[in-house]
Amino acid sequence: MLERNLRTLRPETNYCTFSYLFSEYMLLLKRKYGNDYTTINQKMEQLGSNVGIRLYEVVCLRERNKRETKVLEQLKFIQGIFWKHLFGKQADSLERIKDKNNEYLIRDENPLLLRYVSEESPISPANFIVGILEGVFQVSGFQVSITYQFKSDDKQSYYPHTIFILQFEDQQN
Amino acid sequence: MFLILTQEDNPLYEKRFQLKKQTLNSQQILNAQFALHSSLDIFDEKLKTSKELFLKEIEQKQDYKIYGYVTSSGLRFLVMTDQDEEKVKGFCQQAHEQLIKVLMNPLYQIGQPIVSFYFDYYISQLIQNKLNP
Repeated sequence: MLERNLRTLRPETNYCTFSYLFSEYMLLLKRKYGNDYTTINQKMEQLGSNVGIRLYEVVCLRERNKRETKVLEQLKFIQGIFWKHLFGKQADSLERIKDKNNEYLIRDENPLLLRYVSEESPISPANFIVGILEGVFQVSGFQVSITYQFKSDDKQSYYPHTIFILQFEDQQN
Repeated sequence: MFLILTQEDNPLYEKRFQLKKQTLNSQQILNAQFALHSSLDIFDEKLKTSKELFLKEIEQKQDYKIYGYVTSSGLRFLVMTDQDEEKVKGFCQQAHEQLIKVLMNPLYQIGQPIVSFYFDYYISQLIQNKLNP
């Protein structure tokens, strides 16, 4: 196992398999913790951050990336290449919130994990994605707090967009 | 000597190897460890400025040179040897790949010392192939 090449891409897994696995995981959490929504969300974030750290290493190795020291470049990398490795396409937009220097948005229409989950439920796979992002930023040296929101658009899309809000701490240099 | 440290400078892995067929006594081992750990502040300085993974030569002592390398997730490699830069760079890249394979183990908690036998064996092989004259 240890002798396999890390640089060759693995074949993609089935979407149904993955969503089944993830839904079983969420049901397990629900059975274990009942109505304790904060614990459930925290557990999903922890799982996400483990996944995020490992995936970030592998993606950086495959893309021959050097490290990023600036926040904006790191965000661009995440939006483009990293998101593509995760979900098969790039995130739809990356914006900075006006008047606030340290807050950014990553918007994704119809992300893969949330396709069949209603947005009003208090436990959501979006916490998993938040965990992935938190893991990535934690190991690249930026302090950030991430939340997510659903926002419906006036245009013709049927489901609301998912928005991840990243608030960075003030950094020197 | 080869060390892997986390972002908070906790040691994850350590490997001693002999250069020029000298046997190291315990005093020299301690000196080597001290020299490596004391070069960490120069390591941090280079980290802020450079975007590269391989940080090149950090410090030079009487006989040895100390090289640094960072992985994308902030783990630090320190190599103390008298070999050339190119050989050390190749060694670090291979060790990085092997480290990622250790990380991929879902039962391995990130931040714990690395106790995998295969990793140890692979690193010994790498040292023999690349770093010996």
